Amino acid sequence: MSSVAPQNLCEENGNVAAQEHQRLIQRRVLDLQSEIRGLVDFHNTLSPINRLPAEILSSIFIQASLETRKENLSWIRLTHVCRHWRAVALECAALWSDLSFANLNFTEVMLSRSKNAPLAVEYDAPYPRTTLQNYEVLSNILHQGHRLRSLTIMNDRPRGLVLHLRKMLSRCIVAPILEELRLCSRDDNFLGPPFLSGGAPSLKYLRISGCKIADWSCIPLGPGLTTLDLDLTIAERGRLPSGKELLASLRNMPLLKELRLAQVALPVDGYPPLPSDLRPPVVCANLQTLELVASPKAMCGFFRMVRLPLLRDINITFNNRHGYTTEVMDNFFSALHVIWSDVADEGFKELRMARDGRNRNSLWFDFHGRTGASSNEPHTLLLANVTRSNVKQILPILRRGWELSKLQVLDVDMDNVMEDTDWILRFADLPKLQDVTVVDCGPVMQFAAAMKQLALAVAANPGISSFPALERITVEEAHLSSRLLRSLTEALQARSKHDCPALKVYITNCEEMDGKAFEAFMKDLPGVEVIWDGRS
Amino acid sequence: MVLLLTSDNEMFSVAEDVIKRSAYIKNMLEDVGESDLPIPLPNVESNVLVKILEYCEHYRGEPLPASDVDPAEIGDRSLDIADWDQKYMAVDQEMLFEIILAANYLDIKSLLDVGCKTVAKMMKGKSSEEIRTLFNIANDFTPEEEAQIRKENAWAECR
Repeated sequence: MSSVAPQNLCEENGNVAAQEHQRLIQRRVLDLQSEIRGLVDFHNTLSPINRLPAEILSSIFIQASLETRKENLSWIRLTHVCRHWRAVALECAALWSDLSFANLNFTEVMLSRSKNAPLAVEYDAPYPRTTLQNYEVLSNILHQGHRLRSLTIMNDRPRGLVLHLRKMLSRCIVAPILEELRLCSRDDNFLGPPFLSGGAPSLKYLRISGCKIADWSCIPLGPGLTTLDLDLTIAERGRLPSGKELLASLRNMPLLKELRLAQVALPVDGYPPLPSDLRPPVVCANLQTLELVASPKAMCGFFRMVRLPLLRDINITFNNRHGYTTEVMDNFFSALHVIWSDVADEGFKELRMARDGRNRNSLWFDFHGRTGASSNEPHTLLLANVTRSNVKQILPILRRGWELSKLQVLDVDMDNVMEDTDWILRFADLPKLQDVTVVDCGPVMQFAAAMKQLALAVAANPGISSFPALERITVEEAHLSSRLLRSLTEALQARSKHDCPALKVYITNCEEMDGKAFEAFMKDLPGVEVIWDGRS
Repeated sequence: MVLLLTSDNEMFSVAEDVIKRSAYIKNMLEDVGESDLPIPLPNVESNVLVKILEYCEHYRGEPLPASDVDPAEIGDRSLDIADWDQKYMAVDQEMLFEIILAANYLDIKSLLDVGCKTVAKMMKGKSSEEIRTLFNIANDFTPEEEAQIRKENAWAECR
């Protein structure tokens, strides 16, 4: 239905000059369009959601964008719903301040729409090459150091394809509200003045990795840091921090909760002499997590100098290219014992000991104290991919100096390196060990042999301990040949003749296990509950 | 007990520890002290206050959120909502937005967060047109604005 006015306009045909008639019609069209827009606007104000004040609508937009904004820009369709929503969104600087680099044209739009809001920047250099626009956009952002709240630059592409960070970072001289800084780059010597030479007093989280630096003093350390993670090496003509410098830096970071020093950041010497009472001169009063990648010697030197009263978790990686003598291991565990005596004396909650597959001399320990990351887990020892000499060296040291009687779970995942005597000497007498997992054929065979020997020994002398609390055995990823299955059956049959807790045996992901073998295995072990995952 | 008077003149008598989840009421009680006079809530109708009190009653005894949290701080990035909160928020749109408005007025931050998350979740994965249909909103963009939006959409789609 057309309104009266358009009808009137049509009836004017011939009464006024054509040009004037067109002008009238045009004006009327504009009036009608404006009227329609007014009605549509009014219609939209009646929608219940549009009764919400702008700040709440903005919060909803931010919430709706959070889940997907790291992956894509699909959230911007919220700004395409109606004029009111778009106006609210464009006024909400916080909606645009978590910059996306999915499209660099849009990054610039976001930068401008974010007005003066604190910026969150997470830039992952594109592969295979960066363009001039990448430099320009990132440089513009870094020039706004005064509003950077968090800055992450991942620039770890193969050498030759990386951004030249130093020049770009030189645009950021002072960052008063910067709280988080993560720089991962293979672009050597990118750290240094004038980057942050005016200070970053709010810095709480600092992670720098993948690069060589000229000097320890290039690193923007400050008293507000709660997390420091450095995985870097010193450039050819650069200088390692001396022990004294490292200790001075630690003293200047009293709030530190997490510390990771990898590669050459940990000095081997240059520490000041210990005071006459031999008390460590530096107390990291809040440190809870310590991760070190260094030689055992460098760690021993460091441990002598620090006191860590709140330490909960330690992750140690030995990066030596050579093996370790028993003396070195003894010294290391003694030094660790000194800084963590409560855990050594009362039992760690979890220790994972493993070897890096690439470097056969590497050794990795992940210790968790009672209040650490594994506080709700049972006391656990996990041995993965370590060598026989590791076992021979370290287990006696642990048994001598560390409380192991609380151990409840033992997980052995290493190929054929622990002999039956190791099982008997190191673990058979542990009073609370109730759960043993053996992965691969070798450990299953040796564990079965140990159990069988112990059963025979107990028959002769009932006072001998033979895994007195053992309730559960898990056999994983083993090639369960008839020979291996027979050894396991014999060991469990021998064990069941003595007064032992009821046993459950879990068989998971084992080759050659089938329904027939499972039936026979169960039949031979009437007192044992056997659970097979059905996979072979 | 605290007396509350809604915009439609209904009086509610509520236990102090229940209604103290509202920072607005809590501050008022602290400022004014004990009084027999009802607290007027001119922005809240009785049917909405009933829902608000249901929420406060459910979380009675739970610790109140810290007041010194920076509102600009972006915390939980997921749109996960607790089961009870989801059921609580399963109301018609009219009531949903009334609850959000009341939570804002009464300064009940946790309820406001749940409300905002609920609406954000309703929009998840939807196109602009589907969002318009969901909330009964008409497209009122001018042709020039439409052109700008098309450009932004092209940016959003090309990676």
